[in-house]
Amino acid sequence: MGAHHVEIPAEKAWEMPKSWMTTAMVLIAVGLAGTVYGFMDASWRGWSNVLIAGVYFTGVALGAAFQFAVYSFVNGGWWIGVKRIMESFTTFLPVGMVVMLLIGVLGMHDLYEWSVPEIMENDALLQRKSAMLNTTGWLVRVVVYFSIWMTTTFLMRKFSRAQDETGDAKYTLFNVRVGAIHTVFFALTVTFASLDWLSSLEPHWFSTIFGVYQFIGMFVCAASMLVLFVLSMQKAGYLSWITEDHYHDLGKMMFAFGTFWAYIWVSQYMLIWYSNIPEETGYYIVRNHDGWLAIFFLNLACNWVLPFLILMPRGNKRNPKILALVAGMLLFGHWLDLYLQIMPATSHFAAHHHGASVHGPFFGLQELGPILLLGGVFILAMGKMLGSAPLLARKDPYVGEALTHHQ
Amino acid sequence: MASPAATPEPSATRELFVGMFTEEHQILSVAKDATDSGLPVEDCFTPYPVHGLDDALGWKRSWIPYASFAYGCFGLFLAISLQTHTQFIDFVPFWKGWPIIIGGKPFLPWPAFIPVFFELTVFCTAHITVLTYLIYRKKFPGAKAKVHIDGVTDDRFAIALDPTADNFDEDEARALFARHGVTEVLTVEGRA
Repeated sequence: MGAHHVEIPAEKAWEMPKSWMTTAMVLIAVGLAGTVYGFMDASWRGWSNVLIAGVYFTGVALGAAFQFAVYSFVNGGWWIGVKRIMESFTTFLPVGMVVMLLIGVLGMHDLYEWSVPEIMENDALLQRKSAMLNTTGWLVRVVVYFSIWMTTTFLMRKFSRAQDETGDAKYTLFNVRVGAIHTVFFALTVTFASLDWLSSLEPHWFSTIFGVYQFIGMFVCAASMLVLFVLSMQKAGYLSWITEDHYHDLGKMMFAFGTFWAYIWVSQYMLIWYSNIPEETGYYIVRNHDGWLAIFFLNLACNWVLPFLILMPRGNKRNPKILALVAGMLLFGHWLDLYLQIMPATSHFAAHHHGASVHGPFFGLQELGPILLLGGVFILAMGKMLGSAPLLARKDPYVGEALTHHQ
Repeated sequence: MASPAATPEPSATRELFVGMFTEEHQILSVAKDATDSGLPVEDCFTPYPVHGLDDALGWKRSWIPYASFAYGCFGLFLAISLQTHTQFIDFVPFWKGWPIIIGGKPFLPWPAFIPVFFELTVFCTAHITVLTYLIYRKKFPGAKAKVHIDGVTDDRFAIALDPTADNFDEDEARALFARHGVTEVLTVEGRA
């Protein structure tokens, strides 16, 4: 709001609340049990859930990094109050890299049919794609993607924190540049990563909008996670500067990009349905039979229909309870979205090649395992990172605009 | 002196007591203080939409968003009835559609209808909302400006008080403007 003085509120030094610690420990304990149980049950099921969880939380970190980058280079002001939380989300990336590398080294044969040499030998179509679909390339690309993401997010965090010392506006301009560069690389890497990790589970199938679909899922996940963490931190007595007007904006991000997710969903579904080409429709035929159809519609309801209707009135975007409800719904919805993308593919692969007897959806402790485990790790990682810098970037040039933000 | 509640003659011009400011935060705080101290604030004029100004003036939220929602529902209804009618209804006398097989799809292919649902909903919401606003605020093409204050479309912020109102007190108003750093106090002819 310009040059007049804005009072910077006093701020409690961050110390991870006991409730976070307890939650994280419970999640890790249950998650470990579930993961072990999953691998004992069937290795394909264990690895499928590890893949869901790895992609999910890597997505939260990437969604936060993307929002950080975009808000930086569009000179956004309102978000400075939650900037440190978004920064701390990105600390999950190294964990995500370890998870993806584990899959690449140990779990490929349980997930990706193209990684099995006997299948590759007998499939002319897959042989034509072998330049992309080979385990070495897959592993190298995991390292490349994560190196790019970790470099740019490291720089963004570094400049943001350096500004706390000097208050020099040049760091804001640095982040404008890093944000722009990150966004360009992110567009490419996220497309290739989603092809590598998810789309190649069904290597005969293709969808040109697949990368955008993954990207927007990540964006919505990060926006919803941000809402939950902001509310939780306020409950613990932090973030006194976040007001109803900030809730309103956080709610608008979920509302707008939840709707954008639906737009991309329709763009993928409708074109495949309309052109009716066998290579493409296979993906949806599997997901519309054997009980997957219920999840297919639940996915739409959780990710768009309900959030869209609930968040439409202004008052609901300003009500923390309703925001938390919708954020939880979207987070569950995007887990379900990944489940619906990964499980039908891997369970059919397991049924055809490993003799597993699976028909239709399944849910048990095996599914809860990795997602809860990594959820616990996520809380610990970001909780620790939050302590490494003040919660309010008080020397950011936009901090006055953020604190007096008004809808 | 006219009572503030009385509606002025449509074409009558009257004077407005105007304070000019140079900063956004000045207009926000002067609007809030003037409203709180009971001065007859007529309106504020700013070069761009200032967030929080309607709260500072104590104005209620507009009903137009609710109207927009209704227009959206109307647009969706229009899209549903248009497509189901033309593509499906063949049995109502004098109101026949023209079902055609397109791409081997069924006669009620809901995925194919979605783009039209979306387009007509957005179209009706956007256009009718703008029309509603223009009609409600009487801003037809060619409408004359009610008030002309130099600078408010450029870099100045103005607050206008109604000097004919009972609760207008010029000394109080001048003192209040001065407290918030007024650059100029004017009297402007305006049509109410």
